[in-house]
Amino acid sequence: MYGAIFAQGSTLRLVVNYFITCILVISLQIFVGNSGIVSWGHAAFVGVGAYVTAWLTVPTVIKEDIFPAMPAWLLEIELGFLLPIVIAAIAAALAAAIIGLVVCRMKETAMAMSTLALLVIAHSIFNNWSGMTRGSEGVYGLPQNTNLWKAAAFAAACVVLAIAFKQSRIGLQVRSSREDALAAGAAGVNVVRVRYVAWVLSAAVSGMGGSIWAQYNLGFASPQFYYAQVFALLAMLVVGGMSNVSGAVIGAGAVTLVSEVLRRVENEGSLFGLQVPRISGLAQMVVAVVILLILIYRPSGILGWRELDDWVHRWLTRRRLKRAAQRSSPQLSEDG
Amino acid sequence: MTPCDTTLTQDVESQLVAQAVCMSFSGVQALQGVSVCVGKGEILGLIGPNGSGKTTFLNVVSGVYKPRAGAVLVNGVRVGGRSPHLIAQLGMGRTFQNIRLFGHLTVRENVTVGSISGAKRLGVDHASDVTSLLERFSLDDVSDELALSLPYGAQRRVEIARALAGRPDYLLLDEPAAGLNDAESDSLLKAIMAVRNRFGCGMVVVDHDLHLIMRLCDRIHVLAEGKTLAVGSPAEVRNNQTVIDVFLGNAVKEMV
Repeated sequence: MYGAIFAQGSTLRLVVNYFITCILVISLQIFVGNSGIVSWGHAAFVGVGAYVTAWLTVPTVIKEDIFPAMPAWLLEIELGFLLPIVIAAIAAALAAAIIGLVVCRMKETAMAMSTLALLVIAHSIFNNWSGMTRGSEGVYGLPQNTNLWKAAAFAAACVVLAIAFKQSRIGLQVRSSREDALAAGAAGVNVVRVRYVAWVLSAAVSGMGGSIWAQYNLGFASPQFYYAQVFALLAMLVVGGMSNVSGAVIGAGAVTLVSEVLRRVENEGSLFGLQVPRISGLAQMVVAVVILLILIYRPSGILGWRELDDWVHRWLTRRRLKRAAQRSSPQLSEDG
Repeated sequence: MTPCDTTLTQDVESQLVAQAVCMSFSGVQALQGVSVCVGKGEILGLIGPNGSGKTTFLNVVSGVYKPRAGAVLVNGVRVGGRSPHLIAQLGMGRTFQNIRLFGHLTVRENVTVGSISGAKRLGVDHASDVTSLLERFSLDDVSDELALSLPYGAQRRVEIARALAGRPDYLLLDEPAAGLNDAESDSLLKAIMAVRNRFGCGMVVVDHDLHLIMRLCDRIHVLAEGKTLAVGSPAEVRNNQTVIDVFLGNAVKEMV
């Protein structure tokens, strides 16, 4: 069905994975972008979403082989696309709600450090609870319930959700604490509480993204929810401009596109007909350099501090004013 | 004698009261038994040499520091040791010595943040409040600009508007005229007076501009080395020999 639209299966894969990546970067934006506190721990919530989804969607016939430690009642369950996403989001939100009770009371830097600890703790659980996660060997047998349209619809829904949150009272209060936590407190903002709300919501979306991702990639293993994933997601967020939801979407696109082009160059050994030496890891190095350049020349990301529609609006206004000026100037010269 | 003896017996329910507040930083006594009270609609000037404890006092009252001893009461509610946001929600607004705006939020968003807690406390709609405050402080033209892009004088106005948006009963202004020229300082004075008349809040104003303080304040509280040196009307303080000797010196003589 999609063959008609996308000549290559790999392009389809790329686009679907882009939408899923968008969901994950947006989930990070909800907390990191609004609060200004870096979280290394969100890969843990993506992992929670993915494992919960695996437990709920792997066909019952092979479930016992894959998850030897699974309780009997769970072995009977095999759900479709939507319910596992909801349950994954709730599970991630619950985990974040408990962890957040401690983490959100900390000062900004301590909080960032503790999310790093969270990542390591979560990783050792994913890695060692082999009866339920199979650790680094990996889980397999998930159905491919996610398709292009479902992924796109969820990504769009996440954009709407994230913008609504950013504009909400609590979103505004979280952003004020990002700018100056002391002044926010003096203006009546309960900084701990609003950060906590952003943290839990953000984790819920991460869990949701993890579920959609797991239902596309058929199988996964514990190392996939570790430093590499967090760095990649944070890089996309920072490149796009972390204070904006559109920044998350554009950053995910930019990094995905550059990586993909470089990956193809690396595989085929040529770029626009030019011979390129085959060096493995070249793609990652170039992506890193591109990110560095953006951060040097545009530290607040591609979009800076304004949303895309705000930029478009300003551009249109300026163009209108310019045209109006052009139209009135000939008359002036006639008069003169 | 503490300066609050006469007023404390009156209506504590509608006053901001600090009783014998002590504060120290690793052994250094920043405040030693300072007592202050401000009624609604009253403007109190807090003056003193550098390091006399003026800003420390504001930080204790607004909850940034927990006092080592003594009590702070807002409308009769004891707030010692409560978090700043809880004190703000009781009706306390403040500005900072070094302007602390939400730089990457728009001017309107800055003021809106302030209005949310006030609206919650009073159970009113906050949007109309914000618009009228922006107009009052001539910020309506720049309401969609990022706060950090404004010139200095306008940033001072945003900070005061943000503090007022919480509809505070008491407003603490920490050097509102710092860095302003004479004309700006003059219009600030008028704005503060107008705010008092319009909102009826009590104010504590810390400033080095004695000319401004003398014209603005109903009462003046003089601090030196963390202790109360004198309290009284501008005329009384101006003629107090201890105040002249210890702190004011030439500045007052020039004015007289």
